[in-house]
Amino acid sequence: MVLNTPQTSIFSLQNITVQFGGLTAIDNLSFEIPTPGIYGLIGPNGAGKTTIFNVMTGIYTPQKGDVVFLGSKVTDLKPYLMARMGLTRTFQNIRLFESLTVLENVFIPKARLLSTLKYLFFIETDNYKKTIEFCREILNFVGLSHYENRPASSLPYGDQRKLEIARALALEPKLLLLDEPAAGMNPSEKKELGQLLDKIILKDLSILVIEHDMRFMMNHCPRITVLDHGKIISEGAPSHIQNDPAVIEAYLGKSMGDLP
Amino acid sequence: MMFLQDTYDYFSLPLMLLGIYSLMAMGLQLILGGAGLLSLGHAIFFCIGGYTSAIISSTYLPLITDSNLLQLILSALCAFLVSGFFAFFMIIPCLRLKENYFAMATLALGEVLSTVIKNLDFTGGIRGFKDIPSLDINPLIVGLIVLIVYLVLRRFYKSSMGYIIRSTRDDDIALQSLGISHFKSQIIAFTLGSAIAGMGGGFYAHTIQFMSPEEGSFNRSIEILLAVVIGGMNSLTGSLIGSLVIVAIPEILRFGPSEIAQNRNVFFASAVILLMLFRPKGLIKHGS
Ligand SMILES: Nc1ncnc2c1ncn2[C@@H]1O[C@H](COP(=O)(O)OP(=O)(O)O)[C@@H](O)[C@H]1O
Ligand SMILES: [Mg+2]
Repeated sequence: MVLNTPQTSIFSLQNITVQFGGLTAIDNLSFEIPTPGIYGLIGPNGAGKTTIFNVMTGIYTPQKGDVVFLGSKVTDLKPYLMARMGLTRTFQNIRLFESLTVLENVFIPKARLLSTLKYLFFIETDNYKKTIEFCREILNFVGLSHYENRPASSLPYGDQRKLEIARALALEPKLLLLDEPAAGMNPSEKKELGQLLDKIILKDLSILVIEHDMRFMMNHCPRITVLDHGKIISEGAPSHIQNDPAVIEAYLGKSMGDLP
Repeated sequence: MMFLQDTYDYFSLPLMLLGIYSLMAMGLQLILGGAGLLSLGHAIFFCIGGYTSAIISSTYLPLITDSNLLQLILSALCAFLVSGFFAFFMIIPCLRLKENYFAMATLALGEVLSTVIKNLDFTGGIRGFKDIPSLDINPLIVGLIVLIVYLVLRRFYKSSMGYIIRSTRDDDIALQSLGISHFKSQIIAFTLGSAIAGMGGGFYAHTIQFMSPEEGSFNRSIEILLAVVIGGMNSLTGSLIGSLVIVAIPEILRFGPSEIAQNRNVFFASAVILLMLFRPKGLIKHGS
């Protein structure tokens, strides 16, 4: 920090604990996204990665600890209000609006800002047209323009994941959480996804991505956090965590090259 | 001329009932097919609308204007507003429950409200509300209103709230992650859909000129549910076709051989079961 101004971090979890009945899914965990960029979150299945996303987005309220987003405490904020502040996500099990078309899916995050009554009375329908144009640009950006009018459920798997990202981008978030975006993709789809992330990060937003594919993470995340049993066991550059004995042990002695 | 007059008289009642059922079905389509909420108490809002029209048309409306048409329009408007008002306040606690539990709550709601109506004085209690003015209601007016509601709802589905309501049905968690409260869209769909049913109830009151608490029964809710599902619950046009099916088929069976005519319900039910076997998504699959 050259200037001596206090910099608020983008996001932080402070001493978070989440329990499901007797099970402690997240155990007194603190985590920070200090500056814009792509961050990675890895860990064996059941480590608590998705649970962290659910805490971050307000779906779960932690039993203990605080959630801070853009300098405000948002621990008890409802999910849709978190999203309005600029935090959105994709889901491990794709959640598209299946009966809507591709374009309509991307339209939804912007729909809230348009007046229904005016539309009913044919007033200021230009706003609709402008919003549709904006959505088309996003589809173009992720490379789904040719599917515009197809039902979302009819898209190939990899493209459904891309559409989920496009829909999230339409919210123009400050922080985007991706839950296993490359899961089930073939190598060429993964490559395209990686290129897309590199393009997205040029926009003014940060990304936190959960992903099992270690090569993918090495190529795209300068900083990775490793989670096991609801605790952070390692944090740092890919080369650092790859050689961290604690990480290797967490993955039951498997070499990092062939993670699940 | 005599013959034409007779035909008109014979068909005008079924036609008006068709229009009234279509209104109710379109309202439920918005709630079920639109927002994905299974309401098993839909008919109670129809009933509330009916009583609203019954009461104001036999008390206040004649004081305001002499025109039957104007009275009818005002009556429909009040039925719409009052049933919408009830729906708005009833849905909020019900939405604390999800899916099947929500459906059970709406069922209970219908039963409770119909019992309340049975026990009030100004509704005529269990004897019902008699001598409701017809206000010269006719198939043309009802048909026109059905057309207007249909066109407005079609446009509504293309508006921002229309899209939000449809996405609520698909995935409310994804919707929240995009900054939109599913509560609001569910409340709007339920209130609007119930208010449209209430307007249908208002027309019904003037058509039959009698309202009883039974009009809001579970049976009628299921009948309308059937119309929406037969037509295809994701399609507004489907609910019009579904209404035609449930109003017309029993009417047509009436003319069949006496064995069929006397067991209309059995034949009707079998027809519905067959239909659902071969077209489980309803007659019209996509649309709205
Ligand atoms: N809603 C829930 N109810 C009960 N247990 C849950 C719930 N969500 C997650 N868990 C448990 O918490 C642990 C962490 O789960 P999760 O965050 O999904 O892991 P990951 O995404 O790292 O694979 C698992 O043991 C899981 O079974
Ligand atoms: Mg997970």
